[in-house]
Formats: sequence, structure tokens, C-alpha cells
Amino acid sequence: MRNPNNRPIDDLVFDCCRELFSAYQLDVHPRDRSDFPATEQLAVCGVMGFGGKSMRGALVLATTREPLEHTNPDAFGSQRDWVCELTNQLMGRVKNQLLTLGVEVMLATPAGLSGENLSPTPSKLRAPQVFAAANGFVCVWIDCEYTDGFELPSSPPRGLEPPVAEGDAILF
Amino acid sequence: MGKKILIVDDSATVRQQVRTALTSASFEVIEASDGVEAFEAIVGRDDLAAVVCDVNMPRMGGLELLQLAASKGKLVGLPVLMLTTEGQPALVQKAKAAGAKGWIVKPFKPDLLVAAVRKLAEP
Repeated sequence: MRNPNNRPIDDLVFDCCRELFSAYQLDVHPRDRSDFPATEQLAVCGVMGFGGKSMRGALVLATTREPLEHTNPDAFGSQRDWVCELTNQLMGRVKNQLLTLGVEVMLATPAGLSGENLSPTPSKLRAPQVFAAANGFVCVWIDCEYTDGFELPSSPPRGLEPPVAEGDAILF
Repeated sequence: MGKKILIVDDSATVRQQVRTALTSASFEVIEASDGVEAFEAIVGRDDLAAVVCDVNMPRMGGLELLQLAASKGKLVGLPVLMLTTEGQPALVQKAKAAGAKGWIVKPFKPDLLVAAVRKLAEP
């Protein structure tokens, strides 16, 4: 049975993914999940685990070559390293959004997966979100399980200190 | 010769991005890919003007590095700017308590990073 938390979490990941690529001047446009590209087109996947009292799981970011080339600040840099960093930044955004709802998770460090036979097999219940981007595709999905009885709050708890926003600088 | 900044990040791409921003502002940079390498650099050198440091890294993270360096008295006169995807207030407070002087959440704007490093390294 589909967990009622999945939809709001997927929506949150969707928004975070669009915002992240927008920060790198790349508009990503949602496509139907059936547009998931052939796995041999995927350049590389980034995977990042997370865990907390209420939920735990992993975030996966898989892209074709074009969005990576478009966003990588180091034109000669490693695509694997860059997809790991993008996954890290995407998961950081997701974490910060969860924090605004009073949900805390701890992050692992990202790992990159690549290979000719790379073949992600997403669950039918948790299909990846697919975006068209820079003549290629960005696919993202989050696979998580929840503590029994956990319900993702729909609004921030009162008195909660907001996280530092992306791009902000604080000097002490 | 520009002031020397130690960049600590497990992503080579981020190190390159920070290097480009800082060298274009006439800083010299050296790099470390985790807290262990960074601690060796902090202990082994006396010419660092500031450190730009990630939080989540393999082997030793940025907060652990801060605490270790502070416990050895190595942060006296060495400002540390955290550059991370984390924005959690509790982590920011933890870093501040351990001796960090600033916090930037990725993705960063190069001019903002340079301004922060200038303020810390060239007070």
C-alpha cells in the first residue's frame, strides 16, 4: 500500500530538483514518468543515504550527459564527481525543507554509480520523477521508509528556527 | 604573493570552483579532500590565512576537524568558513561553538564567497 507520506515527499523532491538546476541556470521541465530514458543513455547516478527518527532511505539522481555538461562548473571535471555533488546539494535542499517542517535527518556522503550495464529498476510504487533538461534527461527519486505512525507535517511547527537558505552567507 | 587559503572538500569539482573564485581574487590556494588531510595541512603549515571547509566528508568531517584543530590550539588566528549543503541551525551553532567564523550554504555565488574570505583573511 502506498504510504500517504510519499506524495508530499515526492512533491518536495520535485521542487528541490527544479530549484537546484535553476541555480545552475538550467531549466528542467517535468515529463511523464514513462519518458524515463533508456538506461544506456544515463551517464551516471548519484546516490545519497539519509536517516532520522522519523524516516530513512536514499535519494537517487540519474542524468544523461547533457545536463551534467551544462551545469558542471569545471568544464574538464569528472562527471561522476559532479553528479555526486549535485546529489549532495539536492539532498541538502530536501533536508532543509524537511527541517522547516520539524523533521530532522542526518546525511551520509554521496556515492556515484556508473557503468555500461547500469540499470536502475525503480519500484512501481515509487517511480522516478523525470525532467527534460538541456536536450537530455534528469531523473530523481527518493526511496524511503517511515517510522510507524509518522505523518509529514503540512506546515512548520511554531517557534522553529528556519535553516540557513541556499546561497546565504553568515559571518559570526 | 596572495594570502594562502586551505580548501577542504571531498568534491574535486567544488574545490576547483572555489579555487577559481579565490585565485581570481589574488588568493593562493591549497587543497585537502577531507578532514584528515586538512588537519595535516593545518598542523604542518604556518602560512594559512583562512580555511574554507565542507561539513560532510569521508574519514573526517568539517565539524570534527574544527573540534580537533581547536583542541590542539590550531584555530588561534586561523578563521574557518564552512561551505556546505547543510543549513541546520543546530549544526551552525555547533560550528560556531567549535570556532568557525562563518557559514555559507551551497550552491554559492563566487563573489559572496570571495567577500566572506576577504573579510576573514584580511580583517
